[in-house]
Amino acid sequence: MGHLPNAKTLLSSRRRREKIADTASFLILLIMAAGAMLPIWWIFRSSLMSNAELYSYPPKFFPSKWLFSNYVETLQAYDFGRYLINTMTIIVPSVFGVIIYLCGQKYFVEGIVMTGMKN
Amino acid sequence: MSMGRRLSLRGVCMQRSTKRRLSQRGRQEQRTAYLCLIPTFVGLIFLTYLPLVAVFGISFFNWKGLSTPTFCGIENYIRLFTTDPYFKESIKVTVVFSILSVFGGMIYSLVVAMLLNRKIPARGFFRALFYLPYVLPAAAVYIGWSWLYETNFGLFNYILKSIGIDNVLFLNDSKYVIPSLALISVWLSGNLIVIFLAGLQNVPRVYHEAAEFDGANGFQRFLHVTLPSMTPIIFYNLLMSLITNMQVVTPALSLTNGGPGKSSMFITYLMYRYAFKSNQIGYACAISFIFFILIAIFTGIVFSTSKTWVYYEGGEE
Repeated sequence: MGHLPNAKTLLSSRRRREKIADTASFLILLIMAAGAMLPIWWIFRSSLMSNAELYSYPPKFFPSKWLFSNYVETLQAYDFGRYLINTMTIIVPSVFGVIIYLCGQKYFVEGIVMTGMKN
Repeated sequence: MSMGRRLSLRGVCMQRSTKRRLSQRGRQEQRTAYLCLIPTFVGLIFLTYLPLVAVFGISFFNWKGLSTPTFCGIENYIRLFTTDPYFKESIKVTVVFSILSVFGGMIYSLVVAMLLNRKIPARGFFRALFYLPYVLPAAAVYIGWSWLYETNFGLFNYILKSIGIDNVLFLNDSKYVIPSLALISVWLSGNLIVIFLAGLQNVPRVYHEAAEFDGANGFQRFLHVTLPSMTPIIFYNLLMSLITNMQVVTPALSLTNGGPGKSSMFITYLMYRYAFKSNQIGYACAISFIFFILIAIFTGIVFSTSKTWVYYEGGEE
């Protein structure tokens, strides 16, 4: 009977420790995620800036004016539809090809190699 | 007979009277399996082995692309090891870059995976977030980073200046260009995180609990339970990221053009330059064959050391 409360306090202290560790790792993760997102945010905020603002010093985290017109201009200046078709002409057949290729390979491995190894 | 045993091992219910028919079916199944292997072999032969042999063959020729190739023996290899101004430097640069980015990437992704493995809110979101760099188009990523690294207007130099450090020419200084590019490569290693995370979730809980009741603290548990159980995954990730990082070429193509000087002249980039800029295809093939041997050596080193530190559960081999 004597060891029961002991075990209980052990369990609760362990649970508390786990909780502290979880919170700490969440905070560390938040900081690391912010770091990992920084370059992506940088690309995005640059895409909304005017050229003058892009070369301003000190660098700004947020554009003073969100120039979504940059996107319109880019889409008008370059033939993105054509690029998309070009990319898809490569991707679609290659994905299908890889799937068929790998299915055959896997079927062989399952059917022959695995049973052969077990023998 | 052995066919019958194979079938029974595959869970096909078999009785003595139907043995013959089943074994016939088994033979048919085996034939189908071999037929399914044809695409793989065609692909391997025409897209992997023939080009490999062709590269080795072409490396003995002096070939300028449009002209007819002339045989020149091992002249290309002699030139490579004696008079080439870039080759030795390019090996050094590539090896340093891959060591930095492999170890950096492994540590970074193991740490992130360990943190993600805890009970935290929005785990799926975080996982997607750390995986995101890996799926972004490489060229866009490098251009984005070049803005951060920029000498006069870049964010990193702004931060350094605000704590009193002079401008660092991240991409234009031969001392810093390789570490800077390796940092991008570490940031890009989101695929390692996913594989590590899958491995961490397979570490048996009982070991952790046993260690805890024996009085091991968190760090000891990490060192003696998590790490040994993870060694097969670490080995796989080490191998894969070593091979991909040795073949690095995108940063040189999109940012540095091998510069400043020749301090980011990666082997693959050097090969690309000789083959497609100055049309010395035979010579480029010689480089690529030496590079192939170099990767094979590094892979061999990793494999041969693996016996001493990779631990397979339940395996006595």
